[in-house]
Amino acid sequence: MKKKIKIAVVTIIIFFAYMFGRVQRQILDDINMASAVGYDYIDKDKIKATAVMPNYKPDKNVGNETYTASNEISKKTLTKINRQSSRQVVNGKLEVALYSKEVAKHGIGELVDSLQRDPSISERLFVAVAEGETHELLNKRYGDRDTGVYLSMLIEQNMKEGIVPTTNLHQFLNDYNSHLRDPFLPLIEQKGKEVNLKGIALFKDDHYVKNLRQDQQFIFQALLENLQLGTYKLKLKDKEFVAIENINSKSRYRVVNLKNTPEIHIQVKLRGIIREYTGKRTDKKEIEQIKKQMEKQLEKEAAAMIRSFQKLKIDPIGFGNHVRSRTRNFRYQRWVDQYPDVKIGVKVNAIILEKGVVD
Amino acid sequence: MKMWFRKQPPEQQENNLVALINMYKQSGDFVHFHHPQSPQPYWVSYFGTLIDVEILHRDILPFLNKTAFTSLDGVKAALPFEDVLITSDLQKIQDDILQGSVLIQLDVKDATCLLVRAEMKKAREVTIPEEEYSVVGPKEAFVESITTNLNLVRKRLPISELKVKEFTIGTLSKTKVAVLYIDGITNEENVNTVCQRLSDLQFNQILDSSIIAQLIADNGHSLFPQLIDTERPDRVAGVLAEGSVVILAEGSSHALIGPISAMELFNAFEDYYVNWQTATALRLIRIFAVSFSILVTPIYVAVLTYHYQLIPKDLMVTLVSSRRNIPLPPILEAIILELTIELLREAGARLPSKVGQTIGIVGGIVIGTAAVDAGLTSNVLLIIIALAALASFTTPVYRMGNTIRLLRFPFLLLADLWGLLGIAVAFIFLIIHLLNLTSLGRPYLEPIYPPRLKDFKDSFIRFPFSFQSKRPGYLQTKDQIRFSKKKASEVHDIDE
Repeated sequence: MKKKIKIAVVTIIIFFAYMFGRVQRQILDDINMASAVGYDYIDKDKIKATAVMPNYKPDKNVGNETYTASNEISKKTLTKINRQSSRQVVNGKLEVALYSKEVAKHGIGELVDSLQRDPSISERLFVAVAEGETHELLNKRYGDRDTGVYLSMLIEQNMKEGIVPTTNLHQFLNDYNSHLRDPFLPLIEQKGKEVNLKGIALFKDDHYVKNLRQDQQFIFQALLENLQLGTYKLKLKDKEFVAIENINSKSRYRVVNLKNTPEIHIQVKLRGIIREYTGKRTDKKEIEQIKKQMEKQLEKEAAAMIRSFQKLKIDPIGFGNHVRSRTRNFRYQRWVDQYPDVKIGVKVNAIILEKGVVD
Repeated sequence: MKMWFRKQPPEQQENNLVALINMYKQSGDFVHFHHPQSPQPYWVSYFGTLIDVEILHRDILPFLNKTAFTSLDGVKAALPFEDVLITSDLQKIQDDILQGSVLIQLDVKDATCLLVRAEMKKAREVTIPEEEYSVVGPKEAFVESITTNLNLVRKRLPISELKVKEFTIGTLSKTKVAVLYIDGITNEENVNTVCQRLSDLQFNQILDSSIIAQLIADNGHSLFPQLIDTERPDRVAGVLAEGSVVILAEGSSHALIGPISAMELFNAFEDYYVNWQTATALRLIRIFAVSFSILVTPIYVAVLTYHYQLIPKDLMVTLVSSRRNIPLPPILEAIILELTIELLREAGARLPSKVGQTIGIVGGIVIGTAAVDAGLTSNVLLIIIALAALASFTTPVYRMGNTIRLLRFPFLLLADLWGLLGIAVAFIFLIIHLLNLTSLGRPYLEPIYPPRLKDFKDSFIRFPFSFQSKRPGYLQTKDQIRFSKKKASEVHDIDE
């Protein structure tokens, strides 16, 4: 008897689940998976969204399909795009979201929000700012893959190599939602047939304010995270260049005088290998000189960069977080007021491990 | 169905020997003759097809013709047999004649008679095991004669503690069934369980030990084998020494082993003949193969139907472009291919081996390539299904392979219904079932649940023999110790 009841219960559950508990089917070959999406500015409340969808052909070639639609909310543009497509448009395989500089200047908080709310969109989605119109950038074909995968591979590869600091949707939202840190995103531009990682776009809250030049990126990254494979090019006096590679960096933050106006002392330790040198010989004296000059130059760059941050009242490196973690009864407003005048000193300590095989 | 168990064949009502013989005479192969020329006239009756006529002619008739006997005792003394029986018990006479005895009477109307065993022993030669073939290790397999089989086991365990309990099961087949165990090692509870289930068995015909396995299994409706059948006498001797109970049946070339744990289904006995690293690696491969075989097609269906997000971007091109032109949804595609593989298997198994090979080639190459070319299935799925089928053949226990092949289908259907959640649901049902299952009352999933760390020494991994000083815990043996570890690790000086 008990057994019969059990069987009956299981049957009923299965029946009801089968009848009413269905999830929407998204069969792989019946959907159009957007791989990249770009947003362009039209006017104050309108944006234009461009979506790239790979078109997989039976002979293993991948083509591109680009759809454009404009609307007030980015989610609605998707339904508009859906009307143009022969297959259901889904965004679970989104790899890259691009915002034109124009859009970024007006704030991207609401646009990013729609990405974050969709559970099928990966948190590891790459978000980037594009110089010029994203519509143009996405309409072109690069490499042999579809544009979305190409862009994501481009950004991912550069992040792995340590050329750009690691950012993705998760990181961006974390910085954006934190009071003590401002987000930054990679900045890409289209140059002829190629796409180029131009630099780093700095934000204040969700508004684009400034971009970091390529030569400032190294010290920015060294202050931000522990580098594994950094590269730094140093210009010596008379048209001589030296490239230091495989740089392993470690930064230590010390905060003093917490009660009044905090002072931050950062010590950056670098260990690298000389890979390219246009000078004649690299003897001990020379290396010592290179080392000294590198330290000096980096310190100078860091100081200039931090000063510009303070002037703009942005904090992409997260000094505020370092101060907060060391302060009892941290008061946010006080820190914000203090920030432009806080003394932040960077001391670089470089070690050159190798200078090449033959010398 | 139940009628088969309850209905007894009509009781044969012979009140005397004469009636019995008269009834037997109705059979064409029953021989009943009188020898008038001999010194003493006597009557001989037997089933010509059951006895070895050579024994009769060489060892029985010459002695009868030599002298005149006055009593059956005299005949008994003259015949060169050790198990000559004088009886008037009709039931005994009836059974013995049907098992190949020769009945001798001094007079046709005598109620007492003499029975001489002269059965015909026709059995296959002991050959190489085919189902559980191994490259290393002994190459003897059981045959259809229980005497030979017992001999094969006894040869490997020449100890007095090896006990054999005999039963006769089957109202029609009267199959001799033997229960083997080692006294002092095997838990008597296990032996008693087996004996009780065997003696309670109500079935008319036991043609093979697998029928016993089905009838005495703890859960007759389970897909999983709860007793392992093996054709290797070395495996039988091995598990007897570990403390298992073994069932042998007349006419069956397979012995049954119980109680077992699920891990035993992944053990080929060859594992004990290779070094422990190899054995462990092979076992892990088998376990992986089984889970792969069950899960890979359902996961393919689930991912392609619901979870396109899970596909890595580098795999996307291959997957989507292989499916672009296919008109069927993934579930139909998978079921069609699975059925094709099952068809091939079934056709190959039913046909003579030479034709079977052709079927394999036709099916594997022609149908496979043609289906992909015609755009009915994707080549990715074809690879997956072929691999899954291949993986299901890695199980050393043949029955387990069948179980795996069948298990795939509920997984497939649920994967189509709810995607990965469906697979999880199917898996939950499977785990619940396995946790419920017992083998002769012992938990089926033993080293995993109930967790017994000590029994891991011979489950997923096979540790070297020096680690295996204790018998498996799930057998609850009387004597846990296989050998003294202390003695084994003693270092003897060469001068001692």
